[in-house]
Amino acid sequence: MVTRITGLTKNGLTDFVLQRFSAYVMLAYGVFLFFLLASSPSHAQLKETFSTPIVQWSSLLVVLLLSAHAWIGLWTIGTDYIRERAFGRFDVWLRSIYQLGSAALIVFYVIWSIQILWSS
Amino acid sequence: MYRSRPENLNLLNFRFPLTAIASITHRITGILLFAAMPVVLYFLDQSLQSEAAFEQVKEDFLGNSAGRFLLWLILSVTAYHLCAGIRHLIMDFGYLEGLKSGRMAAIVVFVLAGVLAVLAGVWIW
Repeated sequence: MVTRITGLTKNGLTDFVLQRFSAYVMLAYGVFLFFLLASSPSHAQLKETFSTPIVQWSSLLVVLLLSAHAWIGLWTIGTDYIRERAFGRFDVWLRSIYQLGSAALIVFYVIWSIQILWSS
Repeated sequence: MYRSRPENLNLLNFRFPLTAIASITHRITGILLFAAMPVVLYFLDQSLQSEAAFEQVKEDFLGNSAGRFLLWLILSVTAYHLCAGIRHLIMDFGYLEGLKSGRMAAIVVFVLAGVLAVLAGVWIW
């Protein structure tokens, strides 16, 4: 049994709200991305778009919200399936490795995103 | 606990309700999207790098069937996760929570995601 509730904010309701809020923001950003790609931009146009501060900062905001969204989702899935019932006494170990791996990947994605957004 | 309780562990006649399948697919597509992040970031990185890198990454993804398929897969998975997510957001407002309406909504999500996947295919090819 999962006895220590960690999640992201240690509060189920806050995690729930964050999951929804990030979804709305990503939906809006997704519409922007769709129209950007649908216009088949050239390299110069794409570079110009992504070097404007408003796009850079809103992209960073989306990356951070996406990280929260992904973490809450991955955490939920991990605590639902990687349990004693299925993995016996190794459940805590396995779940810890899974969560550490997920967190490491998220950090990697965020750093990479910042590098992309501010290198052009 | 009663020992005589009926048990059914035969997975062949064990069916999940459609809403459960919609839910697990939402989870699986979420994990797939997380796993696909490096591809998306690589795509953006190369596109912004230089004119030559932009043309190269365009060729890599749109110039051969493997690249196209990967791109289509990412778009289709996104489409499903998006539709299923919007269903959740609607449910937050108290709609589509009944047995019948919930089932209906799950069907709509599958159909809509399927249509979007076809449209994504048309867009790419």
